[in-house]
Amino acid sequence: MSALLDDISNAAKTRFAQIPFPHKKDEYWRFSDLNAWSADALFPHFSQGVPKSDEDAQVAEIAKSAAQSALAFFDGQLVSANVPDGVKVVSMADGAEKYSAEVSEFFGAAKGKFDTVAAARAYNGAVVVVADGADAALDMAVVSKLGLSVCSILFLVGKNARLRLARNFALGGGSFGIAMSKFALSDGSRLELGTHKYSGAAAHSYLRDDFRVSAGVSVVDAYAELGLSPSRAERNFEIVGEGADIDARAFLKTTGELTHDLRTSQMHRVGGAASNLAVKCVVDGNSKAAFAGLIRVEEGAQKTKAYQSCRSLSLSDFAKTQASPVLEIMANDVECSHGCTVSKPDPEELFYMNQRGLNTAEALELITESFAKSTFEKFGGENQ
Amino acid sequence: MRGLEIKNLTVEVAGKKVVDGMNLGVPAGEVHAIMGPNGTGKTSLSKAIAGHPDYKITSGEVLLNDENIVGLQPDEIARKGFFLAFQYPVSIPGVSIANFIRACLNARLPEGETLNPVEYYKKLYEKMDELKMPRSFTSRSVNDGFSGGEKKRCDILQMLMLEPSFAILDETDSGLDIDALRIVSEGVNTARGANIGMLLITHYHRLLEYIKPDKVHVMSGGRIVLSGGAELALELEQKGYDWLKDL
Amino acid sequence: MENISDKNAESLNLDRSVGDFSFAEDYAYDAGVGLNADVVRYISKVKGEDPWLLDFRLKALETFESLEIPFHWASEKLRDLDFSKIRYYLAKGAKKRKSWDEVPSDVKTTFERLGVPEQERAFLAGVEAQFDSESAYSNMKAYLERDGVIFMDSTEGLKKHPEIFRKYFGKVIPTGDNKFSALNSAVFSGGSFIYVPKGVKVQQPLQAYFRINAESFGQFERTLIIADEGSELMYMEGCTAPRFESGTLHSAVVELVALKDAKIQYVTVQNWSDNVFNLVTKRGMAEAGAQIRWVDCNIGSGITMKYPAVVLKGDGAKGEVISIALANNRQHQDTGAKMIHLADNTSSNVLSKSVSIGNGRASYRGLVYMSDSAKNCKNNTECDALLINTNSRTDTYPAIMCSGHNNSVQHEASVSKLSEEQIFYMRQRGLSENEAVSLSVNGFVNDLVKEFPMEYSVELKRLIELQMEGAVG
Repeated sequence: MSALLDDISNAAKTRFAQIPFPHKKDEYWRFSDLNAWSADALFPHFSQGVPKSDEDAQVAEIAKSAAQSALAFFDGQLVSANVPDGVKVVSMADGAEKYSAEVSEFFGAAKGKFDTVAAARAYNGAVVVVADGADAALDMAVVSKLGLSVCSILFLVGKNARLRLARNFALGGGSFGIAMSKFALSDGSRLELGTHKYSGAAAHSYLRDDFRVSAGVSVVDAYAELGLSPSRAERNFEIVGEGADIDARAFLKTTGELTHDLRTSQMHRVGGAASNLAVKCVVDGNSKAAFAGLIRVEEGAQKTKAYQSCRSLSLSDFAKTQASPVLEIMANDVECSHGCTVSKPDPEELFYMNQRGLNTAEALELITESFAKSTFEKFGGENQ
Repeated sequence: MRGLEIKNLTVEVAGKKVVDGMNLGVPAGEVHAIMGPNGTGKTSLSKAIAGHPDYKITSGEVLLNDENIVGLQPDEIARKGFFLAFQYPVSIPGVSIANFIRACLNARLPEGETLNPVEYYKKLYEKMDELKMPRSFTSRSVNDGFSGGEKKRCDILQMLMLEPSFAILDETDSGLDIDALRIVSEGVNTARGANIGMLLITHYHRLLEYIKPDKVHVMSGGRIVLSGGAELALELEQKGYDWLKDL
Repeated sequence: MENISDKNAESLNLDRSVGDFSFAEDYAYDAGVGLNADVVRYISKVKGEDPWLLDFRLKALETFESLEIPFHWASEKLRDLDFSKIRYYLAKGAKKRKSWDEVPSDVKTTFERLGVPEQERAFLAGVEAQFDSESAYSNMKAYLERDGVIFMDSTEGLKKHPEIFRKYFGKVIPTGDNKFSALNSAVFSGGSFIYVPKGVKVQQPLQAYFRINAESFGQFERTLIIADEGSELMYMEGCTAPRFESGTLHSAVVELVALKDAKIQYVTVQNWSDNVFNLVTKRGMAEAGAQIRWVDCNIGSGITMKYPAVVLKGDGAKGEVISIALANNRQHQDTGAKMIHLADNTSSNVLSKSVSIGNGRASYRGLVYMSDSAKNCKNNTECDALLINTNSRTDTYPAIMCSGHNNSVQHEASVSKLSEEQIFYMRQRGLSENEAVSLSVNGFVNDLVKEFPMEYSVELKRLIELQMEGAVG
């Protein structure tokens, strides 16, 4: 047991009661499908009473292969840890003892309704430590099956270390999966992160990733949201060191009545760093992709380069794209831009494919696939 | 002396010495050329004389018509009659050539006086005709979307309009095809006269076929290593710059 | 260039240097300080309004009181706004006149340097209550009457043409649209009412400028413009000269109605003094084939919140917003555009350029909405910000909501600073640093300044030069 985690958990429980569920006037949840995140929709999860109604085949398969992963978490419990040299995995309770400052800061950042749940369940998860100068590659699975499934992982990446991490999130059986991670990246380190998320139709998924980026750090981040249930992902890049370089890509695919909601921030606290975020969405059916991205350049953060783009491909008349790419710039010697487009498949391109014998559905599938792939192209020589 | 005198000049860029104890005199009425291999400080010299803040003059003097201009603001130096034709002229989107040159001329007039627009346009069109620039150029933004040759012509047009007492033409021939080179050279030749001194900076002999210099200087290692008549340019063309290392 | 603007004035048969100044009779109507139902009744009574209008105002007051300032996104600066300390109605003549000596010296200097005629200076500075340019205006009036164009004060319009006015009044911008439109609906006075009959193309811009009096330039003006089928007009409000105003809140409502195939261009140059909160609601409704274009330049005020909107209601309607904002020290220009696509084949275009100087802050806030029942709609939005000093600030807050068949939205924004090489180039040609900077800034906004009528654009350029003075170095 850890006194620190108990304190964190108790404080979070109190806070949870005070924070309202996402509502219309909350800018932080603008564009989200508020019904999916309402007390009514989530109450059964909080009372742990959601039936395992839909055993999704894809979730089952991911869960089965999860055991072979270097790191596997089932409902916040570490079930396997076959980590390479230079990597150490400790329980959150042990982590709270050894890295008390880092752990308090990690949970201290939880200020919203659902990351607060992660703090309230502070024992769920682990601390992953990558030693200074280490070069480690590992894969990781996070499987959620319980009505409320919480997993928090703090990554402490040492100086000049390199971490290549492939993450697989699978949510099934009407689970509300809450996952919060933080990558504390020391000077000169490099993170190559690939994240794949899938959820069955009856699930809810909340995922928050924070990146604390120190001097000379480089981050390559590929994120794909392919779930069948409402999701909210928050990806926060906080740049506190010069010379840092971030290349982040995200792909969302929405179908049916679904809303996937992605919120990103690129906070340039100091100058001389670069960040580039590119989001692509394919929206179909009656679904909605919601993207809100913030670039903030603090006063004095000169010589910042920050870019952001959101490209949405709409396959249906009723599918919606809602985007809010925000810039807040308080320094003048910077290069910043954002772009946002919503468009349909090019009719000429479709016609061309039809002429070559593909029917429209096949052609659209091909267009979607190439659009999705293009999200992750030219990743500094790395292939995802 | 009327003209430009450079005395024992040392220039640093970002702490690195790029001009090192240079001496050179170009009297009014004469045209001199500085030649030399790339990276030998020719462009640094011209930027430093023009007062560019990145080019620090750490010692020495630059006399323009007997007045030391070191330490003056770039626009003060310009208004004292110094003109620099840039190697890479920048573009100024949204500011038309006609407006820009007029603003530059007005800046030279005493407070409260302005140009007579009729005379201004008459002169502008005259000079543009000399440089074979179509009239439509007046309403185009300065250097914006211009080809290399158009940019150089635009710079020479400004020189003809502003009538400096001394001009440095930095690699004016670069990016010009043979027709443009001839037109620009003709423009420069008409500007030549007793009241103006000129210093051409060039890497190649080509320009000097069109504009005959009175003297040719060779710059290397941040200073003048050799001076001679127009024939020196030809010699350099044949022998290259390598042999200068032994000087 | 100067000549052309003179010519323009000539062709309108207007000589701005001759102003026939007269004082209005001293109606000492003053609604006092603060706002309640009695104040609203008082205003309605003084104006001799019909009961329906009083009802409208009282309901609006209730709405105003029930709405909160949307602090979840609006500027924190609005917290300084004290509704209980504002004077909501002051009839012409009752306005306390200042003496010329009380006018701040920087305002006087600006008048001088802009070359504002002596007489207009007094009015603009609030020393004179009224500037009657009826003589200049009468030529145009005769011409308008011939074509059946109605152009009058909105109070007068409500009385003389209720049949047209009531049909559209408050329909484009409902009272409860936002807190400030509700406030305006409760206490409005002044503003213009314009009706252009079918097929009439008004050749000359209609200018609020020529109808200056205390009311039409008032704090809570209400403007309604209706362009009937196939008609065209351009309306211009504001002027480039700084307006020194003792009232701290300016909250206008402007409604435009462009019926089938009509075209309306609405040009604004806003240069209030920097003690003013400028919180304006502007929206146009475009029927099939109609075009509405807002051309907007904001230079003055302490804070401006203004997002001209076009509701594209009919097939093939077009909407456009051209926006220039200059935010100098302590100013916040929070401006933008809203394009609401409700019909097929509608298109919209937003071009915004802002310049932030010193600790000034310029924000773009936009909304593009395409309904899922609309087909083949297009929007293009471009926002460019220029930051002059190291502590200058800019923000971009676009909201894009797109669905429907074959609709496309494109939004691009960029931020830049002055190019040091460009400034050096100009200084090498003999321009002082200030001249070079102001030329560069003028160049930056030039493509949008060109969209203003010539006489405005020349003045705008001069004004930008003045704003840039002392910005660097």
